[in-house]
Amino acid sequence: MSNIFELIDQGQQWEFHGGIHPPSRKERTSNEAIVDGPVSETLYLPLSQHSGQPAICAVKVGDTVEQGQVIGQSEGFISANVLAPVSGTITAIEDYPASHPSGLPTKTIVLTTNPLPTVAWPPMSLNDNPQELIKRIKHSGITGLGGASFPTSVKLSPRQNIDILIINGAECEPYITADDALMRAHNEQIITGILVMKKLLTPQRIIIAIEDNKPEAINAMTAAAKPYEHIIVRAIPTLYPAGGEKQLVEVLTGQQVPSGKIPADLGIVVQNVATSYAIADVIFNGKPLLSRIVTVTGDLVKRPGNYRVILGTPVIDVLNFCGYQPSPQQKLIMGGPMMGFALNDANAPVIKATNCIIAASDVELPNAPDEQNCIRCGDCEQVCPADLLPQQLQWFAKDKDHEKLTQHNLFDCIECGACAYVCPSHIPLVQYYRVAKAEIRESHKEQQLAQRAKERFELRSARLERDKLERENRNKLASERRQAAMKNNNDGDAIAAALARIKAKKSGQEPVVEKPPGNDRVAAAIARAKAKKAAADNTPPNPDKSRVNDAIARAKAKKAAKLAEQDQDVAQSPVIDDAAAEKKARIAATIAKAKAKKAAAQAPSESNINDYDPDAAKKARIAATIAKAKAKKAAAQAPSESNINDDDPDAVKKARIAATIAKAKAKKAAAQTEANINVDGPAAQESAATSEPVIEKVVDDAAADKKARIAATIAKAKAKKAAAQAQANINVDGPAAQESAVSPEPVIEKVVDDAAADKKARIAAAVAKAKAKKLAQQTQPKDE
Amino acid sequence: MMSLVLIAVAVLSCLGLVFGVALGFASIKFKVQEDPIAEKIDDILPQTQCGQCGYPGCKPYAEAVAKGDDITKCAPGGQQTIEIIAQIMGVDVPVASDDSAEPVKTVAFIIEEDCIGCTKCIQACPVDAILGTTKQMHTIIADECTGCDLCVEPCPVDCIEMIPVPQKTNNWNGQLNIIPIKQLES
Repeated sequence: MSNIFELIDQGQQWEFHGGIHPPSRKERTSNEAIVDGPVSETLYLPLSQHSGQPAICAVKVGDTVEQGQVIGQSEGFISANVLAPVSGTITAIEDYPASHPSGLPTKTIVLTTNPLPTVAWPPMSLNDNPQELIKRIKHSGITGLGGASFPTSVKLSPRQNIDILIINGAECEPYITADDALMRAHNEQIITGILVMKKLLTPQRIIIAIEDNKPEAINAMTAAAKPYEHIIVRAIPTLYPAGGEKQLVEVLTGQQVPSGKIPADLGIVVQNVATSYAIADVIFNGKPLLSRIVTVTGDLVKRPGNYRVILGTPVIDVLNFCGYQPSPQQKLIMGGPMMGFALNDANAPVIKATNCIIAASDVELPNAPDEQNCIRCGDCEQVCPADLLPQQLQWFAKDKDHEKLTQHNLFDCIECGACAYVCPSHIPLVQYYRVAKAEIRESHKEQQLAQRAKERFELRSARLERDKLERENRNKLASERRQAAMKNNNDGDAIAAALARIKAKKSGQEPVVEKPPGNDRVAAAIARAKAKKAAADNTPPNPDKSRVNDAIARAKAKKAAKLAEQDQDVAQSPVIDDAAAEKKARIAATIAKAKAKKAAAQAPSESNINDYDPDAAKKARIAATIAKAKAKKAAAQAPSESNINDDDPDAVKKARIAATIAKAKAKKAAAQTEANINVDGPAAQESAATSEPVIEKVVDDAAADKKARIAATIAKAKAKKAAAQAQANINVDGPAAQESAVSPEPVIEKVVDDAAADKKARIAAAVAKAKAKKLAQQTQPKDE
Repeated sequence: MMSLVLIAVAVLSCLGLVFGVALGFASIKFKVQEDPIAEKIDDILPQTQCGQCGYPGCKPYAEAVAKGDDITKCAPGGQQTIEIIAQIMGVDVPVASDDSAEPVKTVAFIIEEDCIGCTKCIQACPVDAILGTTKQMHTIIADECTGCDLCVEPCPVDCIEMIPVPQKTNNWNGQLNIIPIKQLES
């Protein structure tokens, strides 16, 4: 670097590749002083006047704002504030034609001005904290005023060490004299602005570069810079586009800014003279960037010149102020003729980047002739200041070959227009590049969006999957918890037993009626069956008891019905949305009720078994048939009900297995019952027939004591037989009980947590047990 | 004479062994994992997850294309995507029918006064670009919306519209004269 400093100090200058010499046409305004521009009633302040993120609107319609108030808040690192240039009222925030090549509407704050006094901020000095200085510069919304409008505060807080600060006063584009006028009139203030930047950047050299076609400006700046060491004023050869940032760096330091890098990577910062002026204004005069110097020129304005125009002033107002004479074939250009753009709408506002407005007739700026085919002359390559191959780029751009365009460094093109200027075929080359750049940017953006959408989609899918798993886990845990609670708590024995039985069945064990210690329900059923039998046996001696039994049985049946109903109610709640399931549950309940009624009807009939045996046999057969039907129904019911919890394949499986087992059991039971009836029926008949005459005989024949004893023995045997029968009947009633257990089982599984149902079942079991005991006790003394 | 032959055979065998080992090592060490075609196709699909191709997202379609499905099913991708897929798959680009205009990029918009807060659209959105909850008004995060159209169908009150993305200065395609130039009168 020291070598470069030496060379710079020696006055060495370098050259950039290419460049052109377009007619400068600066004569009209190059001697004009700066004149205040018009004060419009309405100002249009786009929120995006700078490179980077648009500012965020900080006001609402109807707000009164004072001069210098922030109305657009910068958003993100590369962004700039938008300030109210004049006090006034916000009358609208709307889409308004942009000062942009596209002319598309952009979000704009409309400010109706009031003749209120101007507001100035307290001045600062060079002794202030650099951070404070930067803060003020950022707050004042200063951007590069050369044309690119890059936020100045960002440029003034680089991460790299800065060795050279270049102040760009080249102003190489034809027509424009705004910087020239500024340098002539405000050379001192530009220097003070440079001092602020010097404090912030601490460069070793400061070079003010001015094209040698502005001798007055060179003289003025040299005079102003004289007291300061290390501020060098350098006249550079007039060659378009010497004012381009990278070109100027090359001319002054001999260094090329590498592709995709910025001058700061070389330790160089380039600032425009107007920016320096604005910095001095806000730091020392407390006046933020509210207006800028605009060259208004062209053969259609009577008073061309350099005007201090308030930002946001519509171009048409500026033109009218300068004596604008519209012409049918006119051209309205914002910026220079090379890099500027034709305005679609003269109402577009002057923004921070507007350095020139040209209103020219087609005589002064004739339309470009029709585009011809490329003849591959190579002139464009000769003039390209970025050392690109414009011709190749043109072919690739026409072919929309984005890959090749990127390979050929399209994005290093500064769109200076030198290639198009020299093109003998009048190909609007820059236009092709702009379109290609926009397309590449757009496709890049789309790719990013697609990537983002993909990520979001994948995250969402993952989330849904996770939710599903969590739900399943939760359900599983809950059911496990319930089961554990039931096991711990004796209250849940019946259900636990039922579940255990199902499990046992599932694991392929014998579907025998095992009696786990807590199997109250089955025990109750057995006891009930025994009790019934006993009651039947004891009917003649104790008719009251049998009646009581009947009543109890009936009550029990009712209770069972109620229980079934309750089960149904409970079962209903989780399946509200499943009408079919609800229906099935109701059917199940009805069946259960019917079953209960039948059981009630059966109880008294059974108690009369001794009175009329063939009838009893018939009834038993009917009962068996009913049991069979019931079992079948239960079997049919089980899978249908299992649909309710079809998200639980285990339950379905269990239910199906249970149903099959129940069916098989029912068949077995039916066969057994019939066998029992066939075998026991006659015996019972016999014994009944025997026992009755025996009792009579005991009464009227004391001598027949022996016989009585024999009868007693017979009775005892009979009792034993009855007991055996009762045991056998377990198998008869057992399945029924099991069945009744099976049929509500799918329901019960659902309502395991229903304590009420459970309680009722327990009460029923307890009643049955108590009854059984009582009967057993009663039977014992009878037999003795 | 014999020894010369033996030496030659030995040398050649040794060389063969050495090179064989070297090549074998290289083939394992520097093995290039070929990017699966489905992955490549997925990368160039627009990721709207719209399901217009008949698959439940872009990736499944990419996989189907890799297995030989029709390459013209991606409506949001347009002709451009078809051409790239054709290139990847090494097949001819099908002739585009005349009526298949380039897809217009749209974003969903909820007419918020009409929204009843049913959350149906939220469940339909493949990229979680809809904000809202039960009985609360919903709204679209326009920046995240892929314009897939999937939320329009489930809306019971038809309060979702697909509106084309307006062209702004930041997504301007560089084409001049998109607004017809009118001559200014004084």
